[in-house]
Amino acid sequence: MIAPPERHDVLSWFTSTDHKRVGILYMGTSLLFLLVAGLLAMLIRTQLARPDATLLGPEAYNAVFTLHGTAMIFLVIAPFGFGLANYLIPLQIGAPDMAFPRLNATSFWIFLFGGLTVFAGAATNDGAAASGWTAYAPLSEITVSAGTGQDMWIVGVAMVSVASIAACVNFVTTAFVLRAPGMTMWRLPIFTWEMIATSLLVFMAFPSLTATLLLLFVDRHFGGHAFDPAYGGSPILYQHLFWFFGHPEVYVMILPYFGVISEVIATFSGRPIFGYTGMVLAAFAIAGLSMGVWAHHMFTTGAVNDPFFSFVSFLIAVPTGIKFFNWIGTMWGGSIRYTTAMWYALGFLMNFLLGGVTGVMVASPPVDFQARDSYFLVAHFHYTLGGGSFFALFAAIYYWWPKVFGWFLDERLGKIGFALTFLGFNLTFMPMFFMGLFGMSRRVFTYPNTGALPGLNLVASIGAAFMLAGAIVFIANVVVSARRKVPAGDNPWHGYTLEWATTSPPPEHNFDSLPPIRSSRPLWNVEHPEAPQPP
Amino acid sequence: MMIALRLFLSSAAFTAVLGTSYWFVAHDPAGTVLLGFMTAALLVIAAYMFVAERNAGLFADNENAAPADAHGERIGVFVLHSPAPFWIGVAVAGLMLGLIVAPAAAGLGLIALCFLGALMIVRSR
Repeated sequence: MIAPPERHDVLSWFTSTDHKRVGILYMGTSLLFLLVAGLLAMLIRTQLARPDATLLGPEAYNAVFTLHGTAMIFLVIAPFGFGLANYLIPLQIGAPDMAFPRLNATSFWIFLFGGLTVFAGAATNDGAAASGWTAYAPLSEITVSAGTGQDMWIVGVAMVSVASIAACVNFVTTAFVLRAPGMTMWRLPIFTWEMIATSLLVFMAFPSLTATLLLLFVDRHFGGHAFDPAYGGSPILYQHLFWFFGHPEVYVMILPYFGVISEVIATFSGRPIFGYTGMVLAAFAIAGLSMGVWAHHMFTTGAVNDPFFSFVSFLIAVPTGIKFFNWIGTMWGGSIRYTTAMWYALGFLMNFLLGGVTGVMVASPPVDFQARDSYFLVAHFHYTLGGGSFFALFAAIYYWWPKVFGWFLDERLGKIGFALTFLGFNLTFMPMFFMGLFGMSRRVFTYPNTGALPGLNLVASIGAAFMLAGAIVFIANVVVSARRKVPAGDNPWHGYTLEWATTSPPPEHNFDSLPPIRSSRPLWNVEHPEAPQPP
Repeated sequence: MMIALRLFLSSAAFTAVLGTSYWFVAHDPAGTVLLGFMTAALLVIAAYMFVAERNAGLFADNENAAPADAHGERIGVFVLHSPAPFWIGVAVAGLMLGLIVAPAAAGLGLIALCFLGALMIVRSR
């Protein structure tokens, strides 16, 4: 391949198909959406800081939490993982680019326009969609939500869904066919394995979302009655179709970050990942089992087989537990370096453990019947996706930033940001478990001024302010570090996977030369040629 | 590639077992059909890999291969810039928004999408 001269003008970002630039675009866009979604969360917490507040009326509150949830799930957590995968998979397997560069860039632009379409709904006469991120029928049907905002939500999310499928076709094809000589499948870095498992989930789950949204759109505009019981349709069918996507989506949002945590913990513990094969098999076990648990979101409908879904949901705890033990096993006896990325990884472990354990609790139908639609569930899924994915997202930023840009983020500011975020996160969401137990329903814009609820809500809102402060410190860190531009070198953390074998930032063709690949840690083999070669 | 093939085959076997047991436990047609489609989709991918890729003979699958072994191997042309993806994004947005507000815009978006998609496929060859 003869590489043309590298372009750096602004227009080149619109036409680039280089996987690294597409990855940066994905991650940058996700972070901008995160900023907006975070500000929406601040509106929610301000409204709920005290009872009977009037900052947001019920309609506006519905729209705000709908946009917040939609953005976090469809536009932030999963797409940031796709951005990371875009950037890292070719580098980790020693490839020059993605298998289908144009398709790769196309998936980003469709994702971006899809996200903007969802938010543009807020500018319509009837305002943004207000039926929650699940858009349950009949709440999202035209008889209840007649506004254009709901339509824009439907087509916007459908675009994001299609873009996700296209992106994952690229990930899987690239990982299967563009590996460097010697990079056998069983030598792939854990992050790349996790993205293969994630992509399989996307292939299986996202078509269901696209089909559901199509049916909903036909119901709204072309006289369909798929979810209208008056004409033989079924709202329960909507829930089946939606959650057939929705629960695997949880793992689409967490598996890439399992990969991040595996890489970060291994590097900063100075050890190879403990139980490599077990980690890979656990990822696929989680992916497979997650396809069989969708209706645990529907226990209380009375229309599903609760024991079946409860049993399979419990089973997911086994491979997840294997991952936890392996992460601890990796750290055990290691020379741990407490960098910002490692702190975020440790924060992930603590938060995700709480999210996981409470997940096992609500996988039990008797508990779920009590917790359903209460703040207990809000706390549970925020500990899973906020305390889990969100913390791993920042671990990834601090870990790979020097590779992407060639200079360090400030470690001191990073640790201050982590402390504020960790404190704020737990202050915000821990009280929500108790709010739920005291009977506070989710998706309510106000609550009675009685009992413990006002105090707990105030603590949660103060916690949100700490998280906002953490976000401000992160932005300040980027600005300050960009001015200083402390050079990072090619391998600042002493990582052993292939991306650390090239320059920081890497050239357009990724590698000038590749080291021999004899294990999942090729750079360790280069450093220790005398050591026996691992399998 | 055999590992990749096995991955899809074992996933298909797992979902087939899951779907079958789900039917006998729950007698729910919706979930069983969804799991059945999933099994079929995985089998289609596995069949494609079996027919088209089983003899791919990738250097990557040789654990003793060195990077130099692949010198001169043609693995395709990696285009670094193309305006088509951005405009396809615009066309898709036009098509989808057109469905809501103006069918004419949807038609234009569809025409643009077909044109750009065909152009991208032709230029990829």
